[in-house]
Amino acid sequence: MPDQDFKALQQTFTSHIRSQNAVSILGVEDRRLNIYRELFYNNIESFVSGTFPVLKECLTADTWHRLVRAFFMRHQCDTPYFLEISEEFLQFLQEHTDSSIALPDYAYSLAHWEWMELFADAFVEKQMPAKCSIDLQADVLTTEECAWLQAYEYPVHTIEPGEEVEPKATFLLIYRDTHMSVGFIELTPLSYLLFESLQNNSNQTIEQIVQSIAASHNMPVAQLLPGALDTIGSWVDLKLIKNLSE
Amino acid sequence: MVIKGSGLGLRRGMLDEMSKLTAQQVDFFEVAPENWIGLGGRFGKAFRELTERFPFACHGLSLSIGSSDPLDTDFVNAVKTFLDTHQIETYSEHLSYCSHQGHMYDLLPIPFTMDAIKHVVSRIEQVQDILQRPLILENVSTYAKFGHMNELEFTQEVVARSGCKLLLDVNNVYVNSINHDYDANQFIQSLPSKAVEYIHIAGHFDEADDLKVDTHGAPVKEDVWQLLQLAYEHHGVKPTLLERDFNFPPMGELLAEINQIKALQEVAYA
Repeated sequence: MPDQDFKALQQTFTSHIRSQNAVSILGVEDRRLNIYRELFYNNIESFVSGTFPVLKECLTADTWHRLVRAFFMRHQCDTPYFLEISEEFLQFLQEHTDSSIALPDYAYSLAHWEWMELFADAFVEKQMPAKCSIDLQADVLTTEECAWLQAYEYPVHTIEPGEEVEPKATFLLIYRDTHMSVGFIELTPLSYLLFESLQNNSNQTIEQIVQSIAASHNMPVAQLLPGALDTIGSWVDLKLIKNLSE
Repeated sequence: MVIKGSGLGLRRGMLDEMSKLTAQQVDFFEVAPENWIGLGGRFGKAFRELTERFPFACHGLSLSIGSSDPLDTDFVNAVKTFLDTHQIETYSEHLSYCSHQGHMYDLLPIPFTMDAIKHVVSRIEQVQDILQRPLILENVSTYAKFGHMNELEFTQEVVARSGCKLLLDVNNVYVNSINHDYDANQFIQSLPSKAVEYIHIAGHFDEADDLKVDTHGAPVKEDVWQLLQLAYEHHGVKPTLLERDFNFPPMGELLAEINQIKALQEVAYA
């Protein structure tokens, strides 16, 4: 008997593994097929649960497994890199519209936050922060590269399994310190704006930055400036700020 | 740097302990480039420090040499850059596929057919052109078989036509000899010695008397040690790696297995 086209065989076999259905194909014993179904699913599930442990805990086991199965079956993963499977999962969640797998409204935000922790941990730094002296009044400052702002519609950093989650505008600064540990700070809307302005800054002093924030919020500069200097001082202590004047 | 002697697979889960090992304990480390390319921070730093102290081999997972999907040449180029950056000579992969209309992140059995051989051989040539290194392909464990040829015929034909090298995984030979009812000794002895560059050894799981699963989660079994000895006797001593992917034992137990590899290498040299 001539061989079936190998590409057709691959199509049949991979569809079978993705479908996770115990039906006999290509004359192979089911216990052998089952090894593949289980190995592949467990492998994908362990990658996904490794990055999204809180999301997993917030869902029932049944919902979680149906979600991961749907990801495995329907989402085409293009990345050859294992750490990026979590990005593929995030993209799948963003496009998720299957009403038979009901997810809480905060699911995507939470998953994105969990993924940010991995992203910050793995980020390839161009250079480590150099030692520098900073004059908060006079110098032109910007932010170090290992610090990222995120805004969410839910308090993703406090979500705990089994507890109700209400929407709440949430501003977070996640960073990696000079010991390579990842940390985060919850920001007020104004300190979020301040950090964002510093990220984009190339030639303004802090006072000039605060002036434009104050103007856009109809607030007096004198009311904002002391708090802004304090806040930036705490970022300097965390080595998240670098001096462009040096 | 060229690898020799006996090595360990570097795992992020055991990175702290593995970073403390000395050149007296282990001769080289092996990593999957897919797990370390584009990795900065504490892992990137630990990896760079280790590459300055030890020779490394790369053992890839996502090349998918037997896939019907197009070869990801961007990825192969990224592997080349990674190998060059860290001065890694040895790059091995699997005679397998792991993608079909997208990645599936584990190894699948290529159907053993003549068309598949032609397909694989042309892709090996493409990869070797980009990498400017010989591609070393590993015989993989399988639990199902497709196509009329047997694994030995398929492997011999791929090597003969492509000029690729072989990573002989003696545990996989053992697992497949049970799963597909063939003679493990004869399989090993029939491989072309001049192609065998590198050896892997690992533990497996007994699913049933006639079905073994290559888990890398258990100590190496006695039958598999005997296959390693046979491989050395027949093909000469090759750099040999102990693979352990989960159920990590205390480091002392892994080092005892590394020492067993060293002892077999010394016997074979004698």
